[in-house]
Amino acid sequence: MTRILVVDDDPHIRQMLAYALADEGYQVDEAADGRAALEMVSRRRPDVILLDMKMPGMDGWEFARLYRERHGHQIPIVVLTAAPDVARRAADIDAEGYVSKPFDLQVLLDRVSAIAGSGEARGEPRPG
Amino acid sequence: MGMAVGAGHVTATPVRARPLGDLETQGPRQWRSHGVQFYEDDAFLLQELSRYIGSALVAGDAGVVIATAAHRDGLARRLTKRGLDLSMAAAQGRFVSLDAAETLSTFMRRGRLDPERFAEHIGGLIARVTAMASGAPARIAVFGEMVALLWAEGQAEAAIQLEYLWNDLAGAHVFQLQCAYPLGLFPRASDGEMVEKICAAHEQVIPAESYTSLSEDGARLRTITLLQQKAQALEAEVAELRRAQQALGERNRELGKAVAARDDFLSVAAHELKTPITGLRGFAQLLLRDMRRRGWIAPERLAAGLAAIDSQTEKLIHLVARLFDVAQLEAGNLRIEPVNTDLVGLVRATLAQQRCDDRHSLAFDGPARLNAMVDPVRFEQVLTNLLDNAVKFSPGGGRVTVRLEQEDDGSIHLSVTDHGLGVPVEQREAVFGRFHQAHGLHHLSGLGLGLYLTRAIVELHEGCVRIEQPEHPGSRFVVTLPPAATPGRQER
Repeated sequence: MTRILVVDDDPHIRQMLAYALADEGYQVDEAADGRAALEMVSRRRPDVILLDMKMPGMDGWEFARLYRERHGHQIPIVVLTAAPDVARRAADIDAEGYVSKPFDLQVLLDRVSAIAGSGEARGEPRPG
Repeated sequence: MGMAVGAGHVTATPVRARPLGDLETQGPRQWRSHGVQFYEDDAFLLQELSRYIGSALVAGDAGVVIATAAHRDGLARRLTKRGLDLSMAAAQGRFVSLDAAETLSTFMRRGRLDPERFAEHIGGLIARVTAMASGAPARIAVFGEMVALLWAEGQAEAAIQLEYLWNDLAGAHVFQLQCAYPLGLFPRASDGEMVEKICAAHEQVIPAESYTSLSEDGARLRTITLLQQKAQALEAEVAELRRAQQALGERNRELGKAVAARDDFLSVAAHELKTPITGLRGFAQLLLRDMRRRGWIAPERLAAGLAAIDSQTEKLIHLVARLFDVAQLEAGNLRIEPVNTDLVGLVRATLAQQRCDDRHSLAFDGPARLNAMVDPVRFEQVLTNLLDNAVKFSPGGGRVTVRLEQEDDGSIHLSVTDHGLGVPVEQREAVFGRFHQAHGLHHLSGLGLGLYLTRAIVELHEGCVRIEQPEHPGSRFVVTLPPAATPGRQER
């Protein structure tokens, strides 16, 4: 089953995404900041990471930098941000996709399904 | 051997300045001089020039003109009008009229003067006309404005160099040379340096016609006096303008910073508003999908959605209120309504409402009761801002202490102390600025309005707010209200 990691400091957004993604048949993990996300990734490897950028503690940039150092591009990252220059921010961390906040739920789910699908299609190696 | 007409040469007795056309009358034994004529009006230059060249031609001597097309034409018309047969003089080799730009190009190489080619070309020309002149000694009247041309093209150094090449040529040939510069070429005060250099390169300097056309010494002295006054006044005005320009430049930089800060603020405000809207919209769409797909919503989902709506709208209300406050403040419309208020009760109530996570604890230290004339709504806002700030900037958690005390003179201190990141000394004023955000900690910053509004509200109460360093790492914000805030004291 495809596993999605939702990284966002806003608990309501995390909860709403968890419901919506579960309805589509994904398994969902949540993390409130970059540090928790890094731990989560090493514990249970997701297939897609939905990443908010502006978070207290370890933010999205720092998470992406450390994550790429350790794991490269094994797991695609989709940036979720309310910042106006979302495309540039996604490019900053070399993300596989982005969705700007506030998003349309269907648009977000389509993006996740496209990226999760292509990740499977590439048949990337999975540890464990 | 001839008299050296070099840069350093100055005639022993000062010569009264005369217009160019008068030069014929001051003739020394040898007709040798290098003068410069400044002029304001072309017609004046042409009139003087036709007297200067005309007198040489009439005497059977020679005239050489190296000038612009307009000046050559104007001169030819005037000389012809005087009855001179220019084509005859030219045929006799006593009159040569050359285009200044063309002549210049014969001894300029890649924008630089070639002294050898100049000596060869111009020296040869002088020698040829000297042989044809009949006066004893022969008078060769040369008029040149190649220098003015160079200066007009921005080649100041080359213009001065050419003046000295002419002076060098006077060592080998005997001739009178008059240069001419329109005053309009030197419109700036800073051009004075160049005019000084030009003057230094000439034996004789003839001021422009507004001075030389005055025939009487008294009138000339009056003119000098007026010019001196004008020069001094202009200098003072230029200095004033420069100061004004500097002030404007500074103001402009400040405005630029203000605009940049406003732009930053708008993008932060948009970000802050979008985050709660994301939760609202997401939950609304999620619940709608459930209704469409299943016709019902699971109770825990509905509860979560409603809780999100409740808390996110509260966040939005808070944001909008702050934006509105700032708009009021900017327009000068933020008002307070002080009433007799028990600050202790107000602080306790605010602390009870304060949202706080389990990492932080809130404590109060103060008397049982302390009354002051404050606007209770605005004062609660001040305390809430300080508490939010204390919690936000102590991400490691810890105790946040609110202390309330009254001095003997009646002034009241309200302080909020945290164990957080602290505020560097050099930032302690800046944090109260409009739109200020702790940029290095962008995830912690909100709109950057909290402390700005806090200070504004405190100042409306005629108090002040400052940051102190507590005995431990962290920060302490201290609001001080003046004795007048104590009820009953105002009337004394």
